[in-house]
Amino acid sequence: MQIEIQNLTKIYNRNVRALDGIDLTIPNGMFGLLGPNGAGKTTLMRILAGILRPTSGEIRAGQIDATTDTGRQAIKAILGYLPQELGLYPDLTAREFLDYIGILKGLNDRRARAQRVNELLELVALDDVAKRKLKTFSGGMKRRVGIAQALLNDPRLLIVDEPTAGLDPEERIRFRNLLSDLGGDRTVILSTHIVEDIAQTCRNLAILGKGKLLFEGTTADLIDAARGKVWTITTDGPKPDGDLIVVSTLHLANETQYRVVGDATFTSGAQPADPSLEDGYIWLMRAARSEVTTTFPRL
Amino acid sequence: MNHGIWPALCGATRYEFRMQLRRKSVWIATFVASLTVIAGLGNPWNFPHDTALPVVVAQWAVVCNAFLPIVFGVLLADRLPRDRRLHLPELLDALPAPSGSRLTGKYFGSAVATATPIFIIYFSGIIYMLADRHDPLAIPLGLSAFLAINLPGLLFVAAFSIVMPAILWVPLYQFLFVGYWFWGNLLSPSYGIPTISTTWLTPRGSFAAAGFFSHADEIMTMGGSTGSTWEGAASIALLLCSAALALFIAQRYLNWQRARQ
Repeated sequence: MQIEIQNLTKIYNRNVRALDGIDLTIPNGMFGLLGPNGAGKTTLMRILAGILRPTSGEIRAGQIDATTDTGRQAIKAILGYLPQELGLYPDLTAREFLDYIGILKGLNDRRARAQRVNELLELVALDDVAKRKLKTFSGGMKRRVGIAQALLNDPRLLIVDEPTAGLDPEERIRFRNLLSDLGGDRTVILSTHIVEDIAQTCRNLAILGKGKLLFEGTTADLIDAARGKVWTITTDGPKPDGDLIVVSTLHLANETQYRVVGDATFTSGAQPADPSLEDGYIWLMRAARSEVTTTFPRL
Repeated sequence: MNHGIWPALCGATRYEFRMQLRRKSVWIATFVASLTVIAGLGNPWNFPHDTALPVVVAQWAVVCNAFLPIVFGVLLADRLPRDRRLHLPELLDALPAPSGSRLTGKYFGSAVATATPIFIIYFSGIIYMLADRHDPLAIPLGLSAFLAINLPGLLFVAAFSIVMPAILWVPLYQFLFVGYWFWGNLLSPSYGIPTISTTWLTPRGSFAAAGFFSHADEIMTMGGSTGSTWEGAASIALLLCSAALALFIAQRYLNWQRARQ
């Protein structure tokens, strides 16, 4: 299902412009939404999930006009949503919580619902703790309950907002793999500020900054945009300065190796490096901050 | 998939009931408060054997309705804000089930769960009467007294305790509610302070006790009421309608609040 967003604007309290004229096409499959904190990602996710109403603009999800009350209700019927701040009822067990959410999703056949709950508990590897109360679960286990509840109705549209925040590396990798598997036959929107999550799961992405769309394209496009702008500098002297951003610092035996993003004019001894998605993102955000929009056109 | 009102309402009722019933504070607070009932007058064991059974049953129901609803109301006041505290509205609002079903389910489920220990205390007294008087009529009389005297008042209290914290800070509501209870239910008109304790709007169940069980308590008698059957019915109807109205207005208010986010 393709989602078309046109001129979407959301203004809070009459003066806080969280989204400012967003035009975006989200194709079927995994789609990444990237941006710093406060970029408007969560607002966009909430509007797409039918929780918030936009101030203006149009959203079409397949044949559904998602800006009307009827459309929002229709979206909710095909939606799986994992919010950034996932709330769970601590006094319910994992199975009870999923059963309750299943009822609220309209899975009214008790036997079919129980079967679906069991399938999902197995999918997220929580079947052995299904009878434990949620207040005893770790952050990673709660996230897995979150993804299970989102999948209960086999949604055609899955929205996950900052799903790996607070997870340890192993949990994060497990979660990414799970999302990748889900992206095959549905639209999955992954909103995050962690570039690596997008790099490992999405082919298409968009970047938001201060409520505006800064980039829309493929991960390869974003990587290409930083080509020729990424360098490694190995030195025993001070940290390189100038018009550049240090992306990483590696301490060697007697020297320090810096990976930097910037123009080539800043120093001698810099070796060009292959850009990563993170480099592309850093380059884009740098350009956005400098308002050098002409050097970084929307792709 | 069917996103109807009833399945969601039944589901919400079932799980809200389960969650509230698992709260230790519901049991501990109610049983501690029941000491005031057991230690006070008007217990089944304080009546001479020649007092008519309906009067003893009604008196016991009224006694249980004097202080226990305070605990009942206080314990229910956190149900709606708790969802916000647990960050649940974002998840729940993205679900297709009507929000009215969730609110009504929360109301019924948590109200019945919180009323369960009260019913157990009350029914223990009825069992005592059965054992003491060897009159099996105590059971149906006890059940009907609970339905007519206790339940309408509890449903009335539950509605306001569920919805008022949508606009009031929970501790403030609890403080105001306790004050209201003493003023609006237990204050005798003999003190000269205006009170609604002798009106149909009192959830203490005095009118139903007088109207259906021929038991007029002291406060009601001082209010000059005869406590006829139709007054008992009117009091029950008024309490239930007020509860329904409170829920309806709260639902509209919450929808309006969501829409203006």
